[in-house]
Amino acid sequence: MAPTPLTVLTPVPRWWSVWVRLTWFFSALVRGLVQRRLRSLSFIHFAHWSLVHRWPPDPAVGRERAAPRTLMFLTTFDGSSIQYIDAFVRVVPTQIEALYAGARGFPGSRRFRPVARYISEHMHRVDHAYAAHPDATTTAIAQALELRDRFAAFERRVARGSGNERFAREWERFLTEVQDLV
Amino acid sequence: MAAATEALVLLARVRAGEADAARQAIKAHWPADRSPFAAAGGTHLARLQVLTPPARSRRRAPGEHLLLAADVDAPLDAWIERLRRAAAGPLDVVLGHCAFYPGAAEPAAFARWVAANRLSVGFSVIGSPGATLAEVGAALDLRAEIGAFAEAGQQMTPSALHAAWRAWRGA
Amino acid sequence: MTALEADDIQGNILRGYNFPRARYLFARVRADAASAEAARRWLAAQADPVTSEAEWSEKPRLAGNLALSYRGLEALRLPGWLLASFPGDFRAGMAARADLIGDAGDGAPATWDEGLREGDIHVLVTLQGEDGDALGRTTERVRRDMAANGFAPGVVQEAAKLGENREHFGFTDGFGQPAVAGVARHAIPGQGVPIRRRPWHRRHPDIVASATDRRVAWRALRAGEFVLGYDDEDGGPPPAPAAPLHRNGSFMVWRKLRQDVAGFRAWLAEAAGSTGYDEGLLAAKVIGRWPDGSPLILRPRYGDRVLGNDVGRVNDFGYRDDPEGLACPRGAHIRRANPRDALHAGGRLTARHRILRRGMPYGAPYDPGDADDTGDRGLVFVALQASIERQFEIVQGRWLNDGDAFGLGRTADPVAGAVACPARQAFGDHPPRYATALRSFVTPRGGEYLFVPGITGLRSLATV
Repeated sequence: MAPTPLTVLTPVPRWWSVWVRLTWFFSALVRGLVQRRLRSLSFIHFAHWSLVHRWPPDPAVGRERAAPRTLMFLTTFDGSSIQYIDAFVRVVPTQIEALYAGARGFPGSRRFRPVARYISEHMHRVDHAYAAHPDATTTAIAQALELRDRFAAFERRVARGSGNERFAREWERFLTEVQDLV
Repeated sequence: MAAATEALVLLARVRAGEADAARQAIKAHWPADRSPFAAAGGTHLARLQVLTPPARSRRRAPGEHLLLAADVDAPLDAWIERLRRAAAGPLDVVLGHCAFYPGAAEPAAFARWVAANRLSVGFSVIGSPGATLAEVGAALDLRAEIGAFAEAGQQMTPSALHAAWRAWRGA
Repeated sequence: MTALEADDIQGNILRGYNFPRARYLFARVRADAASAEAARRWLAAQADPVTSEAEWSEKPRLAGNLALSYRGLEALRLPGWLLASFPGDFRAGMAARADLIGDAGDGAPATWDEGLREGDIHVLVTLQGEDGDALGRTTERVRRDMAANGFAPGVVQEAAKLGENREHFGFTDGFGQPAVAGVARHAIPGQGVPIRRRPWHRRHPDIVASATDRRVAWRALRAGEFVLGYDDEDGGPPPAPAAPLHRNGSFMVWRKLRQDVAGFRAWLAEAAGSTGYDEGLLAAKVIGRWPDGSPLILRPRYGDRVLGNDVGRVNDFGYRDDPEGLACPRGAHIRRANPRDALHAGGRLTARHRILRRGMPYGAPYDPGDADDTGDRGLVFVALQASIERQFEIVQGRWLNDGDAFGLGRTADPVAGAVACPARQAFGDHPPRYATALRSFVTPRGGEYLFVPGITGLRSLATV
C-alpha cells in the first residue's frame, strides 16, 4: 500500500503566525530535538510546515479579498489516517498544540474525534501523488539504511580472510546483532 | 550530517475560471502509474493539486491555487532543471493555467518563475534525512538479499555458507 | 462513569456465554413491503425472548441474539435519515472493504461460500446452547417462524467447541479478551491497558495490579470501546446511529475462516527442518502461546499447563522487555493481534484497537491419520466493537496482514493474515531463524459487518 499524502490548510491570526515562527526558530536551535520526537513515531516519510503570509494574486482579477494568513501542512505517511491522528493525539499532543493552539477553530490536541473532524474540514484532496518506492515504509527504509552500514562493517571484518568455521560464527554474530533490522 | 534531500513547496495562482481545466489536465497528463515526476530522477515523493485557500467569508470565495510539492535529492536547483527537461509537456499543460507562467521551454525563465512562487519551509520532519533516492533503493534491495541469504544459510554447513557468501558477494 | 444498562444490552458482548455449541441462522428480508413490515414486527417481538447481559440466577440451556446488516436495515425500509446515520464502514459492508482487510485471491468476496456472499446476509440469529438436539429443534422452529414473517431463510452455520477450548490448529483459544470497565468479572490482570502502577490504584474498581511486574497495573477499557452510548477511550461516546438505535448496541464482524490444518502442519514440519526448532516450539513461536495456553513471553522454552489454566496470571504480561522478540517473536499471532505495550509509547497506541471475540470452531477435528482429510473446518470468527474501521480493520489490515508496525516489513501472520505473497517469518534468537510461508493457512469463506441493536432499539424497529 503506497504511503498517503495529506495537505491541510489552517487559517491563523497574525499574532499566532509570529509565535509559530518563533517555535521554528527555537526548534532549529535545539538541533533537531523536536524533530527526533516526531520522527520516532516512525510512520512519517516527510512532513513540512510553511506559512503562507500572502496568497499569490491573479492580476487579471480586480481587487479581491485576499485569503487569510495560512499554516500549510504537507505530509506523506504510512498506515491509515486513524493511526496517524491517534499517534499525534496520544504521543505528541504538546508539539501539535505548539503549532495549532492559536489556529482558527482548532479544538485542542488531546482528543481524537475533534482533531479528526478538524483535519477532515481543512484537508484538500491531492490530485496527483508520486512515491518512488510505494511499497517501502519509513520504518523499512530506516532499517535498510542502518542495516546497509552495519553490513558494510561486517563485510570489511570478514574481508580480511577467515576460515569457514570462523566465518560462520561471524555471520551468526552479525545476524544476531541486526535481527531487528532484517 | 547535511540533509541529502531538499523540499520544494510551490504555490501559484490559477487564473480565474481555469481551476477545473487545471484539474482535468492533471487527470489526463499526470497518470498515477506513469508520473512525470519519476522522469526527473531523484524524486522521493511529490504531489500536484489544485486547492482553494481558506475563505475569510462565505460570500467571497478566494481563487484557486496550484500546489506542487516535492522531496528530492539535493541540490534542488538541479532537480528543478531535470524536471523541466523531462516533463516540459505535462508541466505546461497544467502550469499553463497559472498566472505569470512563462512555459517550460526556457530554463532561466522557468527557474525564475519557480523561485518567485516558492514558499519557504519553516519546519520539517524527515524519516530518513541522510539518504538519496539511489541510496534508499540500494539499501532496500540489499536488505531483501540479506534476508534471503539469512534464511537459506541457516541450513548450510560452514563451508557451504562461506562458499555461498563468496558467490554472492564476489569475495 | 455511567453504569452499564445490562438489561438493555444483548448478551454475549460484554460476557461470553461459554456454551459449547452454536448455530448461526442467516436470512434475507423478502423484497415486498408487506414482508418488510412483518419482518420488522417479528424482530421487535424478539426484544423479549432475546438474551441480555443481565446476570443469570441460573444459566439457561439456550441463548439467542440478533444482528442486522446494513442491507438488512435497508430491506426493512427503515427511514432514510436513520439509515444515513450509520457509519460508513458498516454501510459499505465487508465485501466492499475487502481491500482494507486483505480478502483477495482465494479469499476474495467472489469466492465466498454460497449464502455468505455480499448481499446474502440481512439478519443473523445466533443460537447458543448446551445440547445439540435442542439447538437443532430451536433452529428449525425459528426458521419456520421467520419464513412466516417476511424472511427468506438462508444458510445455517453450525459451530461447536473442540475439547479444552482449542481451535483446529491445536491451540487453546479465547484468551486475551479486553477487560471492560463496569463489568466486575473483568478485573483480571492483563486484559486491560497496561499503566504505571500507583498506590491509589488499589482502591480503583477498574484497575488491577499485575502479579508478574511490580511496575504495572492493568486498567479496564472504557465501555464505549464496545458498546454504543458510553464514553470510550477518547473521552466521549463513539459515533452511533441516531435514536432509537443509538444506545446499548454494538457492531459485529462475522467471518467464516477456513483453516488448512494439513497445510499448516506440513509447513511446520518443513520449517522445523530449516530453522532447527522442534516442531512444537516452532508452532508456539508462530502463535505466541503453547497449546496449553501458557504464553511464550512468560514460558519461552516449555509450556506450563498450570499457568495455562490460571486465569489470574495467564494474560498478565507485556512485551516491552522483549523488544527483539527473543522470548515471543515480534510477529507471533497473539503479539500482532494485541500488541499491548510493544508499540511505540507503551500501551497508548493499542488501547483504541481492541476487539471482543465471541467465535467458535466449526467442522470436525482434523484426523492426522487420514491423508485425504480435506474436510471443511475452521473458525467462525465473531468480533464486537464500537467501530469496525478503528478496531477490527486496524487489527486485521495493519497488524495481522502487515508486519511493519513490528519492524517486520510487509509480512503477514500465516495463521490469521492475508498472505498475498511469500511472507518470511522471523524468530528472534541468537542467531535468529527464518521460515517463509508461501501462503496463509486461513482463508475467509464469507461474512458480513452487522449491527447488534440494544434491546430497546430492537423493540423500536416495529414503529420507527
